[in-house]
Amino acid sequence: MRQAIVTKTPVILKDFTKGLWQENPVFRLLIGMCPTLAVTSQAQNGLAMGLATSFTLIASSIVVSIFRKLIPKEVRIPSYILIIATFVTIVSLYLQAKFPDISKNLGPYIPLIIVNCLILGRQEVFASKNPTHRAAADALGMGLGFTISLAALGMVRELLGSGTIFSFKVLGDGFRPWIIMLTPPGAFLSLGLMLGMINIIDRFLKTKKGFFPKFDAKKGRT
Amino acid sequence: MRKGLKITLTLTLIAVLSGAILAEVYKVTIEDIKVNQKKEIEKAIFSVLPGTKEYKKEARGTRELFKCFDDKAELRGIAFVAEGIGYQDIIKVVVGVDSGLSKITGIRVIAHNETPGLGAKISEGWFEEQFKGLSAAIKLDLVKGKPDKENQIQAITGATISSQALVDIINKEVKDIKKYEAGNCD
Amino acid sequence: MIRELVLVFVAAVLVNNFVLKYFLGICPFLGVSDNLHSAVSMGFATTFVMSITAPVAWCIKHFVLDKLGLPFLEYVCFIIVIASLVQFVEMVIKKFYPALHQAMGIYLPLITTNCAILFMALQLVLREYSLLRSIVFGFGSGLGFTLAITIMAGIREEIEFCDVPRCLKGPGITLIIAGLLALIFVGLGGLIKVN
Repeated sequence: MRQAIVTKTPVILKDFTKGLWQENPVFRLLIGMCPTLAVTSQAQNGLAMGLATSFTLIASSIVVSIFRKLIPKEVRIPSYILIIATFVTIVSLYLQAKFPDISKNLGPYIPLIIVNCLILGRQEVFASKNPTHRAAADALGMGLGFTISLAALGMVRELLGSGTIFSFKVLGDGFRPWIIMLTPPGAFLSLGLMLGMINIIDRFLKTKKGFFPKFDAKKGRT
Repeated sequence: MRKGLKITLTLTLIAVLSGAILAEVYKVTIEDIKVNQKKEIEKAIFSVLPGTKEYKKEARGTRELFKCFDDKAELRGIAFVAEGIGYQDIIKVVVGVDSGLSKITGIRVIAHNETPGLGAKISEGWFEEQFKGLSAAIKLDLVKGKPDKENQIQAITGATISSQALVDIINKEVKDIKKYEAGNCD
Repeated sequence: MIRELVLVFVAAVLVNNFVLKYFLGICPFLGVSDNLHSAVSMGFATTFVMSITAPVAWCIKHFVLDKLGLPFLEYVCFIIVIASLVQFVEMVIKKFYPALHQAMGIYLPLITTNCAILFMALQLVLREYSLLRSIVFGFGSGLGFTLAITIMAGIREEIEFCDVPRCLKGPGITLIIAGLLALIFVGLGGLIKVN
């Protein structure tokens, strides 16, 4: 307990930052892939999906961590799913009421946030075992990492697929859009290539600068 | 036994709480959601029948049609929602015809799931614009390249199936609406 | 009537393949496709659960939610149904077909978080399918998933001995293969004609 107080700030900071790169949900842990691929034909949709998922993740993490001692072990998964489904319905109703356009664009993928393995996984691995402030920091970091990844993938696909980023024209009239980037095959291909790129950058960081030596030594990532 | 009771209680409690919270949220948001849905159709109606000030909803079989009136309360035309299968999924389009049912005054695609960048162009302004002012008396024809005869629509390059689907839907539903209106008047 | 059902079926299996068109069930698609046997087991387990979920979801929507005017409980109800069904199926299989349970036991709990199933349940409501159509749709979607994951596993077993660039090893190359598969399935789009 004493130790926890002494190292409180750095622990929280680490809980937060690990979702951004080392344990980035999309590029490193490869979870929550369905929405990642489905809604990123435009950067704006990726961002909106990321934010909706983050909200659900943060809210459920806080609730689960507050009640972590009251929920019986045997029914923890159904309980988490119930809590998550409640928040997703709230998000869905809110978007339909206030942002009908976004709601229409994301369409059937909003309810699928319920079964996003990222959210359930975080409850099971982290929120159910840690105090509320740490759970919140973890959820915030993971949510942010997820949102950034979706927006990044969306930007790449939108740039190559329609020559725009966030609907602003970036590439001139001479550019012929690669329509395939907007279609399902393009989604798979661009995510696959981006994973490759991230791996190269990661290896570069590890060997040249040694950014995260401690983490790697401990975990021994494959 | 006690364990079983605790499990049941926890799950019931969560379910009841979740139901109660959702009921409240639903109550707060439902008004806005309804307004939004209405607005979407309304926007489409006003764009396919410019000059409309007021409209009256009428049931037509299982579907609906909208009688549109201008500011002098004169009938300007009829707008209706047409739907059919496109290349991959259902296309929904609002079609406007003038009061004599002789001309198409405009169309607006409100829902589709066509290939982005190809078939999805059916909802772009230039494609919808082509339908404006065409005759509702004879069938619309889809052609590749520039139209050179009356009532021809230029297909979207690389998306002939989606274009054809939309033209077919409109042809069919315009015929239906004429039949329906004729039956109504007699 | 039969023609319509066939259309729904072909659309669900090939044209609108859940994995390659709607990106559903990507987690098992990437995770369980490294071995042909487990891929097929996973596929059939999912198909089984989907075929049961479809009529149950339809009944809940029409006989409970609509009757009581509780549309906002749709997500919560469907996910509970799916989770309970998966649990139920697991228990039944364990009791009566222990061999089968051994073969696909570890995959069964995973099915709950397969978004393909929830999506299927929500879609049959959204598209206002009849009960019969819903069943065909559920079964077809499951078969489509099985087809995709089986093809993928077959390719991945072959590629194990290939010289893949180091940075693309594992998920990277799998996604690129999925992209090429999706491209093939795009070609099937014209199977269903407008009429």
